[in-house]
Amino acid sequence: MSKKILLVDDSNTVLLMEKMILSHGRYDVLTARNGVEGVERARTERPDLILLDVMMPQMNGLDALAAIRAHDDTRAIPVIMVTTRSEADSLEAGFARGCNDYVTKPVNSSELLAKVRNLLGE
Amino acid sequence: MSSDRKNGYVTHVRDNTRKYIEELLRENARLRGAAEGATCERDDLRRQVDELRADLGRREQQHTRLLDLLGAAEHTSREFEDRFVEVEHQNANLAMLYAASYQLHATVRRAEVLLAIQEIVINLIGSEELIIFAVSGDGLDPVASVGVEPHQLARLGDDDLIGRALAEGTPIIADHPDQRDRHGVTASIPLVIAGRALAVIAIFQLLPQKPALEPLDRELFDLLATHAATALYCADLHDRRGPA
Repeated sequence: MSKKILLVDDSNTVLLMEKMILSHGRYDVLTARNGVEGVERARTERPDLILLDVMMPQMNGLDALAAIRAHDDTRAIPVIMVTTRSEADSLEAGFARGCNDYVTKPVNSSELLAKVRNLLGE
Repeated sequence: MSSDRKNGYVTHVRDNTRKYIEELLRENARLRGAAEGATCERDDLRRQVDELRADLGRREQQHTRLLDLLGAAEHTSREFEDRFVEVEHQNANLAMLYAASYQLHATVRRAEVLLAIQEIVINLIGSEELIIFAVSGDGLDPVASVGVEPHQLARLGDDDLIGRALAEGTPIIADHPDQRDRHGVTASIPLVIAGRALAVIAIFQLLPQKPALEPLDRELFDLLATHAATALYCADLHDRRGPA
């Protein structure tokens, strides 16, 4: 059975690109367009891994991560943060809230697949 | 000593000597038999050693052949791994180009086309500083910008990257920071349709984690130059036609 990955990003371009990269890696890919929708889909779908953008409308990635970590059903799901800037502040905040890893935009496909496979224990 | 006693003694000694000699002969025969047995055993062991040596030689040859096969298999495996990584990389590049093209043509609203261009530059190329100028007559009108205020730009000249891109009708790229023009433009992409530039994208500073433009970025620039132009042209036609 394919593993399920939830992509949370407000950019259609990024969602489409990440979806194509990860679908080639034989994963089932789900998407959400903002933090609120991302948290909700994480609770209902229980994905094996979440790729979470930092800058999003309604609820940003850091708050969404905190909500994911606060809920029993989603607490253990590995999360990779996707940041536009590799500033220490947002990365520190992400790790403080419990993210497992991060990638920076523009996303390097090899790096992304390697980190996904590592967190999925493949 | 009497003659009888002397004869008895001699007889006794002779009998003893005979018995001793007979025992010696029996022992000699036994030892000869043992020696023959040992010689046979030795010859047998030599044969076995020779056979084992021959077997060892065959096994060593087989081991060498297997090592060669293993080496060849590992080499083939590495080639497949390299090929797999290469194919995965190409897939990702195609995914990026497809995503960019799809987004540009997913709408006929001018504002959404401009937004798609910005998203492509930010998320796929890796810059949060850009301006999109519409070409109107002899002038340029900024129609969208991120991270840079268009009014901060001094008057544009023909020698600037933007002017050169419009004059040549192809993307102009500063491969090194010292090749940027006085406005700090890293790349300028004219959006050309039927030989006429509709707009031009100016990309300034790249993101800190992106040290330089890559070959795929040039493909994205070429894609933007044609597909973004077509998308903008369609959006303009749609606007002119008015609501359906």
